[in-house]
Amino acid sequence: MTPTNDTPKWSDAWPVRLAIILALGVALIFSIGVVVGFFGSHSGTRVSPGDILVGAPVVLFAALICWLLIVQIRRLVGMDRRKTGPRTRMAKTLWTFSLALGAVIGAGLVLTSKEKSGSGFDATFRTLLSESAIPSGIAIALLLALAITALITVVYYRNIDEHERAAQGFASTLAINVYILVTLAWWTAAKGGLARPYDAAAAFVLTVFVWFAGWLWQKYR
Amino acid sequence: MKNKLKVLRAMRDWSQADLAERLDVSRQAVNAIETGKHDPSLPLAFRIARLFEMPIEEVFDDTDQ
Repeated sequence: MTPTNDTPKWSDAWPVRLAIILALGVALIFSIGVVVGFFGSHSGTRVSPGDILVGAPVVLFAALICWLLIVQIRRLVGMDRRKTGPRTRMAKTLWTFSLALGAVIGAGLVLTSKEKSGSGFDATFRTLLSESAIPSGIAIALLLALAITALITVVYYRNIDEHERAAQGFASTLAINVYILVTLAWWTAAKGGLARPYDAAAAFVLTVFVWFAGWLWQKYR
Repeated sequence: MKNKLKVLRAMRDWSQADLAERLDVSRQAVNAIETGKHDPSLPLAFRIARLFEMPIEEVFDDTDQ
């Protein structure tokens, strides 16, 4: 049967909404912890450009989580009567799920790392992106979560509208170009003794940030 | 590409969210089309024209292209 706007969706069920809110709550607590750790560790000290480069995506991420949390709570308590089409609603729900799952994976990587890089914002990120070992069982659980995220992503891409697709296309093109240029420039500079050795984690964070900024601009400009 | 989406929507007293729901796209998509920041694909343009019960060339105007 073709779903209509009047057909109740599984994603509208209150247990599902409650689960989303709980997942977002965990992500928010993690994000706030990271931001508070950052300011705690840098109180009275100078914040470096590297801190800002790594910090900006997390602050944006925390803001996004806050916004999603408010939206979901408003929907749960019936304050948001705004209607959306079935595919748009599905895409939004999947996006929220994958974001929350990504945050849980990130939190899992940091909390279960055997070697912590210290406390505070940049230390938390160093732990997240470091080669520090995690227990095998946790790694399997996180990989399963990642596999679920990949499946959600496939369904998500099948449900987005063409404007969203265009925004994703723009952001992806921008990000891959920045990644290639930054990587080549960094390698060259490092070979010439002008920069520290290439850091794949930093390039990854920068690429994700550029992708996110490009998507935001194209989607909401 | 210019279009009459905003006028046609206002004539029916629809918000951007109302139109987005009817087209099953996001509100941002409707806003981007209205402001000329996104040219809709042919299938979406036909859906829009059909929704307003007008020929497609009466909704969209490509004379400045």
